[in-house]
Amino acid sequence: MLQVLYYIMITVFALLLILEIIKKRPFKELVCVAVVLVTFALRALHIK
Amino acid sequence: MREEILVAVVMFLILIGGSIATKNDKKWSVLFLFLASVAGSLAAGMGIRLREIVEGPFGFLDSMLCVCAASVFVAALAQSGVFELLFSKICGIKNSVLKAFAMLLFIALPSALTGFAGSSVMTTGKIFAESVSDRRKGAAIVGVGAFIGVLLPPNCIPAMIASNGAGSVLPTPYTGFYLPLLVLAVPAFIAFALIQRKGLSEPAAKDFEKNTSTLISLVALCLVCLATFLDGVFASVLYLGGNTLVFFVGTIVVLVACKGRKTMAVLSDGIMKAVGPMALVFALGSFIEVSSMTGIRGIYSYWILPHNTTAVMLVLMAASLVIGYFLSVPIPAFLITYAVFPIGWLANTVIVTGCSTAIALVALLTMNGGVFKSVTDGLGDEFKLGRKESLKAVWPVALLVLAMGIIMVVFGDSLSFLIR
Repeated sequence: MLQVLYYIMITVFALLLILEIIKKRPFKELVCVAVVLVTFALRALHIK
Repeated sequence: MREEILVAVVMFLILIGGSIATKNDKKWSVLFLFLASVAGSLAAGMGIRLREIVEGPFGFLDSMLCVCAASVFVAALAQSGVFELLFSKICGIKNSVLKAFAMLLFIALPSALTGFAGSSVMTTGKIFAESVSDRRKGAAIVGVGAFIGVLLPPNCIPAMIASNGAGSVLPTPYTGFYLPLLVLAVPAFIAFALIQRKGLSEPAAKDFEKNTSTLISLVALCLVCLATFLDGVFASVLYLGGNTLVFFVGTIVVLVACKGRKTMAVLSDGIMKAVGPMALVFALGSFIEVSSMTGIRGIYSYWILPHNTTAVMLVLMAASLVIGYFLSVPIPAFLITYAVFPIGWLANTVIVTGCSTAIALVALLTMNGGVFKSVTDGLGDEFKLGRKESLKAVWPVALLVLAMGIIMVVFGDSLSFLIR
């Protein structure tokens, strides 16, 4: 259940990151989204 | 020189260099915190330790999930028009003292729910600021109101950061902070409402066309506030699933009431507002973890052993305030997790809350403007405040919060009845 939640979050953040790249937002904002995305992705992979 | 000190010097130099080069831009701090973590790992001769670098942020994951859910909820409320409805009702209050209190609570509410100041600035702060004639006074009220909101429960990012430091080996969960945060913020809230009574009660009554969806959203807001209160105060006897779930359900109710209008825009807006503070906290987690891995925390423990724990906390709080004024949040946040660290497994949330005031105060007033810079960025240049003006507006609140913080640190054990 928790893993499903994390994967939903990952999908949302990945979509947002793509959207932000398309919008040509500043690099620092893209870094923020990427940091959050990577954290959730690695946490999801850690759940056994 | 001991290796641990050399590693610490490398990490701090990168952070200080980054802060100076980017003029304390919080979003750039994320990158420099990660760079400092990687550099610390390399300087210690451990290579790039990906495990520790990503494990640190995990300690903050649950609390940040709650911040993210709250931000989306606030974005949904803003879209539903419930803040305009509340504002029109508050403007209709005849008694000026009551109106000032209600208005300040209105401004602080989004920040109280999400835990970061930007949330209030862009929603309720904007509504308030546009209705006052003196723009500078409006900016001061919005800035301080948002700051008080950050301190109010249920979510408070400075307290979340501090609670992580109290965990010693494992991060301490962000629970039991509701009443300590309330006690911390209420004196400043009352004082500021009375000092700025005239400005807060200035907006004149105006009509607002309410509809069913706005009323349902208002009910959802009230129920969410009630649920977070029950979760905060009666957590030991009543479990409602946690605040993340409460905010999630609240968002769905508001979106359904608004017939799914602009759902994607609400989601994107809410998450993007929260992503900056979330990323900063995650990067800080990485920095803290690498500092533990490379032995900095070990040598720190050795140094503080002969000293009184409370004295160590107060000294680090003072250091945080001074450093934070010049270099913004990252270093003070790191120092506060180390200030809280000596109480380790005996973590008393009242003491942790007291220590966290140093991070909150740093976010309020730094050399580059602190929270008032967020107000100018969000509302426009006409709301720009000079350093003297912002200090004049802030000092009573800052002093009260600092005094309450020190009282909580010194008398934390006697105040442990506040922990629920």
